[in-house]
Order: sequence, then structure tokens, then C-alpha cells
Amino acid sequence: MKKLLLPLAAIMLLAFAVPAAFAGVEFGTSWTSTSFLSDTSLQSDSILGFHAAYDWFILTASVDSLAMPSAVMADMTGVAVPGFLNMFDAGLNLKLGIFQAEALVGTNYVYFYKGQGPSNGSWGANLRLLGGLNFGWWGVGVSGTSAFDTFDSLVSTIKGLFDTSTRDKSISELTSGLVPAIYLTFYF
Amino acid sequence: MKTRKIIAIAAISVIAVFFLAGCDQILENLFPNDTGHGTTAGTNTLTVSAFMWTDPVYVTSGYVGKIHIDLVDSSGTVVQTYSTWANGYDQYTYDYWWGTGDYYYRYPVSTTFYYVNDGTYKVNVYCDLNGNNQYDVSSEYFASNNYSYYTGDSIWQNHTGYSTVSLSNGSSSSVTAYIDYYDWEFYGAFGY
Repeated sequence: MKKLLLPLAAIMLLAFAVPAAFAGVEFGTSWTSTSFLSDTSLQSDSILGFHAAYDWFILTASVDSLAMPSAVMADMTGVAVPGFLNMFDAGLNLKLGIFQAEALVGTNYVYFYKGQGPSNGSWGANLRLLGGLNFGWWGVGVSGTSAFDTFDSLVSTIKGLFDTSTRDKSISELTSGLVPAIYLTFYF
Repeated sequence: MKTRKIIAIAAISVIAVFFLAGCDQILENLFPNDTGHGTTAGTNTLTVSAFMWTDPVYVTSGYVGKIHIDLVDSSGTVVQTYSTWANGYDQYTYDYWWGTGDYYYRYPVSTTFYYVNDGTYKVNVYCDLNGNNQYDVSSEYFASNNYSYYTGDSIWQNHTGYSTVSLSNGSSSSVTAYIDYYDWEFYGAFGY
């Protein structure tokens, strides 16, 4: 536990030490072609995303909402209605020149069209990695999101990566649920 | 600076519309066919249940296969689809397979298609054993609401089975599929 707390404390101290000029708000949009899916029956639609975030030095907190067609929702949740995958994440936001990278973890909430679906209202978890170019007041990049239906399944998947007997299954779960996207963001 | 202001106003407007118009309205605009706002107003509901039977030997590998369910309209277009993985770590029932005296694992899969337009549909269920999205091995038996075990052999000649269902005027229907793990013709695993 100490091993985890020490770097966290260091990050927090660094964050508190930064002037307000390093803080900012961002809005953006993302788009995913479902053509990346190996299942050809799911490839007829795309996923449009809305994005808002607050950046503070090397920390960031974001809200993303992805509009999912019914085929993708069915693959993800078992319910064949369209809906939104709403993600609330926090993590690191690193910039080096025009290059930018983010690593986020957080929770997600799936909204089903008109509240249909047995698991409506359940909270899941997600891991996100973003990499792109920041041109000052706007930026572009690519992201990869891996969503899980529960935090427990996220933790067990991560743990599984460190065990040779479950590594393949964990990698399969991480990659099969991976949603890649391209994004356009404006900074204020 | 002027550009940034315009973008800020546009971004805030989008978010405002998102909340004011409501999530459902946005989904209806983005996916008219999925929400019954396509060519005709869909109000029908169809629930498809599938049971995949496997030999316990496959369960120890932690992998069973993938089940695909397609809802196909009269023109042959797949209007909605569902697919899911069943593996040895998922919930299963140890059950008796009729006709053999043996016990096998039975994996239940179920999905509901909401907002289906009026019309006659074919419900196809496939079992994709190696997960390469080729419907390589399956044999299915369908019954609507009330089932009895399959006794013929034509339904799995081409490794696909289907059920036809007519939906209209807000109807709710259900279809049940039974799928065995093996390629029946090659392995004859269960053998009635």
C-alpha cells in the first residue's frame, strides 16, 4: 500500500504546486468506425462521442458519452437497443511539446434507450489510453477504451495479466472489448 | 480568439441540446432503424433464448464458443443482431441431455430485440466454435413458446436452423433455440 501511496502523494504535491495557468477546460468529440470489429454483422454503424474534461497540471478528470448502435450495445450488454456509454474518468495527462498522452481509469454507466434492458442503471469500469497532438487551443488524436461491466471484472482482468494461466484470457478480454476512436478537442 | 468563442458557444450548445432534447431523442436521430423510427413505426418485441449444450471436456479449456442471433427481414436484410461469448468460466447448468443418458453443460443465452417493425422475420441462431466469426458448426432446433425435441434431420443439413415469426400491432413474441456443440454430421456425438 505504501508503494502506491508515495507516488500518489508526490503527484498531488506537484499538482498543488502548479499555478492556475496550467488548469483548463476542454470540449471535444470523438468518432469510431465499427469497421474495426471482426464481427461483420456489427460493422454497419459508427459510434459518436461527446467529451468534456478539466485539466490540472498533469491530472485530468473527464466525462465522455458514446452513442452506441443497438448491435454494439447487444455485443457489450446483451440488450439489443441503442444507448449511451457514459464514462467518468480521472488520470494522468502528460504533454511534451505538441505531443500529449493520457492514461485514465474510471467508472461507466450504460444508458439504454427508453430505459429498456435488465441491467439498466448498473455501474461498470473502464481503462482508457489516449495519444495525440496538441496545437494549443485544439488537438487531435486516437484513443482506446476498454469497458467492463463491473470494477471486479476490471481488477480480475488486470490481475490475470500477471498469471501465466489466465494471461491469454485477460488479454482477450482487454482487446475484444477495446473501442478505438479518433478525437478532436478544443481547449479553453 | 473569435474562433474559440464560436467553438465554445457551439460546444455548450451541443451539451445543452443533449440534456434538453433528451438522450432518447438523440438516439432516435442517430439510429432511426434501431429505435423503430425508420420506414415504419416499430413497436413489437421479440425475445430469443438459446441454449448451447457442450461436453464437459470442453469446459475445462475455459472456452466454448460464440453464439450469434440474427433477426432477418423478408428481404433478407439482417435488421438487428446479437452475439455473445460463452466460455467455461461463465454460468452454466449441468443438465441431462435427452436421448443419451449423459449429462452435459448447458449455457443459456438470451436477448430481446425491442422496437421491431411490423413484418415477418427469420430468426437465425449460429454457433461459432472457434470465434473466427465463421458460422462453422451448429445445429439448431427451434420452437416458439412450446418446444419438443427435434426428430428430423433437414434442419442441420447446412448447419443453420431458423424460425419464422410474424410481428405486428405491438406484439411480443419469443423464440427458443437449442444448439449442440458438435458438428452433428461429423462427430455424431449425441446420436438420438
